[in-house]
Amino acid sequence: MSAKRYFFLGLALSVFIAACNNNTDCDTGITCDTQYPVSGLLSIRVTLNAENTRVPVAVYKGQVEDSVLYFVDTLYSEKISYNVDVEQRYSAVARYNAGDKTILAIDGDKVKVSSEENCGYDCYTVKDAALRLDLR
Amino acid sequence: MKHRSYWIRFSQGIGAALFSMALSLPGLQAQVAPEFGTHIAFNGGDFNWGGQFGVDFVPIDLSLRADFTGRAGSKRVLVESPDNPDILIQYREARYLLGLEAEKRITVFEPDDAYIGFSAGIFGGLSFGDYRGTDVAPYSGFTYRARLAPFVLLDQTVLFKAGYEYLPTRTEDISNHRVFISVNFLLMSE
Repeated sequence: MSAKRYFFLGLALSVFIAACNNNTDCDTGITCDTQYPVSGLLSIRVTLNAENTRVPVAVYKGQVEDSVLYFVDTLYSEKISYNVDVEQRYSAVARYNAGDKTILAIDGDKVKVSSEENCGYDCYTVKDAALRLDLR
Repeated sequence: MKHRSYWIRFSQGIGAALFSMALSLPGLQAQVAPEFGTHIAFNGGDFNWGGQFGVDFVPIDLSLRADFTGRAGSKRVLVESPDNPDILIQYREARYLLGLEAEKRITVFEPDDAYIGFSAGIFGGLSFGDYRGTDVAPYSGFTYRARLAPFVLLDQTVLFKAGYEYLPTRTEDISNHRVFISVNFLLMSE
């Protein structure tokens, strides 16, 4: 096997090994939040235009079909964020007028908590949820 | 889709099975090579990424691969309500492909340690997906994908391709035409 082929195979294996690498080093330079988070952000983006100067939005816990209505709001700005519970899936429906038709925009996402061990501590991070209800 | 990694491992398993089956064919042991690779395909409104695992039949420049491809993120699609034609529903659709791809290569030039030519590939398999935030499910079923591209095979190990892809999407919101770029590694023993 030629040296060039060894290089290519080594490159391929390096990519796979790097993808699987689980770094357990102690890094004192990073910010570590050891308190389990109680809330995260749920951001909602909508489209405002001449036909829709305000957009009614219904937010559900779980999927829309679960019918667990969390709250309703009328948005006057194109982006808004709410503080919500973590480790919960949310979905939302926005209602738009489009001529003689109605457009219902649906999206869902989850506010997740992940943890990573650093220097013997569990460091928690919140991945906020983003619902894109803006029109294409 | 919460279990993307499982589908990737599943396609790895299919690829390994393809290689084992090829090895069991009489007289082919020294003429097949396992291969794996990755590819992206995109157009103005969509971006897909995938992995491939399979076998290359060296003497005939033919590859057979298991392929799992997924959309990066989700794509907005507009669907007419089945209950009321005056209501349109905008979903955010995730989309995945799982199946087999056969690819034939025709070499045109053979400079030092390289092969340059054209390739044609056809994929057949399952297209499935989901809409975010709802239990309503988008189309699932058989689909195909065709690819045409020039290729460069370096040192009989690294296969680069960049070319045209046709993938029927069954929605007007996403074009069927894409550009794809791929790199595959052929693990030949010698």
